[in-house]
Amino acid sequence: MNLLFKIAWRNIWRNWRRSVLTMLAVVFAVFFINVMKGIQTGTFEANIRYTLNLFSGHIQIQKEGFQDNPTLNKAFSLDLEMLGKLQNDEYIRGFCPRITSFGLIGKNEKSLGTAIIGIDPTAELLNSEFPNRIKDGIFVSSVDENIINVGERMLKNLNAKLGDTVVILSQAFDGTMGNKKFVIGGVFRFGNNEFDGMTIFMNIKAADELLAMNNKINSLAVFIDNLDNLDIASTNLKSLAKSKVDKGIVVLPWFEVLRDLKQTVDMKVIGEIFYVLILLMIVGFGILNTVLMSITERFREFGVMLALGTRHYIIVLSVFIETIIISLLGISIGTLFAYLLNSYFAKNPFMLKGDFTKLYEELGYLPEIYSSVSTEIFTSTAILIFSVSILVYIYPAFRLYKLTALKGIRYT
Amino acid sequence: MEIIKVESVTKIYNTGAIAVKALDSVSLGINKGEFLVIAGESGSGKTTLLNIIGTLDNPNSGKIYLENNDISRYSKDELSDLRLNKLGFIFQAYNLIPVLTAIENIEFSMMLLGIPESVRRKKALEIMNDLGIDELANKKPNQMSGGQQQRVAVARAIVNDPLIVLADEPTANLDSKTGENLLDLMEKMNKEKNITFVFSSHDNKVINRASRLIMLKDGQIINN
Ligand SMILES: Nc1ncnc2c1ncn2[C@@H]1O[C@H](COP(=O)(O)OP(=O)(O)OP(=O)(O)O)[C@@H](O)[C@H]1O
Ligand SMILES: [Mg+2]
Repeated sequence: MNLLFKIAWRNIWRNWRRSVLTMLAVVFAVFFINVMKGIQTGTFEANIRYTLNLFSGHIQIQKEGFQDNPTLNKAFSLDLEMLGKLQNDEYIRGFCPRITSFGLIGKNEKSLGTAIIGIDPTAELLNSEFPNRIKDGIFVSSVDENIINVGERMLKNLNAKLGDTVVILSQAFDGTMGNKKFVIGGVFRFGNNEFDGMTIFMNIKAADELLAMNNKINSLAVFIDNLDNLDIASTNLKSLAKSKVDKGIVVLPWFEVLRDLKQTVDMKVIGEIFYVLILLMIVGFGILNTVLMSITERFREFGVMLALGTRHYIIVLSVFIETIIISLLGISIGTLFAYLLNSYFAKNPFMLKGDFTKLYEELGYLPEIYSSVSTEIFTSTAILIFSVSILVYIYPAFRLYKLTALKGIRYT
Repeated sequence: MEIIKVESVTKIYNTGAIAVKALDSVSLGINKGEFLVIAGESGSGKTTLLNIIGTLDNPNSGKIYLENNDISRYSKDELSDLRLNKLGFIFQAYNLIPVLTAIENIEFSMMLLGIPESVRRKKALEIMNDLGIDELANKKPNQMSGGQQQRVAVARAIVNDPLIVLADEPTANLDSKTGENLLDLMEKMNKEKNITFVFSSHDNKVINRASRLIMLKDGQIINN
């Protein structure tokens, strides 16, 4: 073994230029894949965090079936015990009760269909980001329950302005029609036209009254301290929900609520696999080419070694060790550099400028490029490249295995 | 004592349309302690015969016996072990493993045999001392002259006390004086250690020292 390492190590330095070049190819591939994956993971994570914090929360507690068919009667009440547990859970930062319904909003002779969302303004200000999306006027108030917020587009469609009085009409929990006058206190912009044209926010107490909810809610958006604790927080909540008498309450982690977002992430991951494959092929053929070149150059000495009684596996193994050393060195260096770059951009996001900012915002993304230093990125890349260098060695190994002493000695 | 027996060995090379009979029913016995030279003009089949004796090549017909064992039934790995344990080789040139120093080259077979470092080092130093090449111990092949390399190759070939050393034109790439020195060395080992040498050569320096001379012509032995 000692001999094998000695021979392998010296052979690496014998043609050090070539070894270094091969290593650089590995360094480059590892670096590039890690940086790419870092940006992808980091930016996705940042966007997910941002989106979740904006409104939906990380986990939602809903009445069963509400997610797929959100009707007002799929409601539940929060009891004191549950509230206490939610408040004392170490992973939970806060939570926002919400009532969701559909109805009509009318001003003068004009009326439009709208989603009606009842919110607790104090809880939202503490936990969610969307109060910052008020572009004009004031946020839903805990003092004056008549104040509502409407989307920018809706304000336009209604031909209304701030301070206008509107009437909201909706079927209540008990089947009767409720209607009430409200004042448009503020206008928000989420960036999503559909949402901005079809949504109003009102105080949850006003919604409770309008819709005769009797203190019931449709969903509870739970905000946790750190996305990494999603699993454990969900599990905690699930066992809490199970112990309730009020059966049929479900605990949904974000990806079961925002299925589109989850899908976008998965799709992009698949898209990136393509680039990774191309890079792997480049590196794979690079290594293959070098190894083939370096063994055919040495057929003569392998021939001598075989004539002296060296078994084939020793030669195969010794060249394998060379390949592995070069590949491992390249992987280490590439990982190190990628780690440095990724950790910088994980902390200092790269801000997009000009038109990109607008484009990203309109698409509902953050106009910022983040990176990530998640160990999963680096280990998966390392394993990938390492596997490629092993895989690529199959053919040279076969050539070496087939070499005979005489063919080697005669080879020129 | 006959250590090697070649029994009507024929070797035919097929290159495209023409078949070349490199060896034509060659029979030959080699005794322990011989300093045997196989001579003949270029293309007469010297290298082919040496390679077949050295188990590096297979005959088309005929048999080779090494210490009365028919080697035609040996597997690839068994032949490999046979060469490692019983045979020494000296080629015309580029004998040494380039990344190993002279002493490591000499130790190479012993390393493959799993002989402990201290033992093999001692044995290698002894043989280098015998051959007067101590000062080459830590030199790499590319730091040595052709003659020096061939002397290291001799040391490597004989260090394991092989049954026989096969040397295919070992002096062909050397100038006449260096060639003589190398032959002195091998003759000395032959006399002192009773090591059997088989050479191929068309060099008169070599032929003159033969304890027995075999002449090949068109793949046949014409005198014995
Ligand atoms: N690998 C081969 N393929 C085809 N023909 C071969 C091969 N090796 C040798 N020959 C032919 O076999 C014959 C004997 O060759 P061999 O090398 O044994 O001769 P030699 O006596 O060693 O010659 P030289 O003195 O030039 O080394 C020659 O005609 C040669 O062309
Ligand atoms: Mg020859």
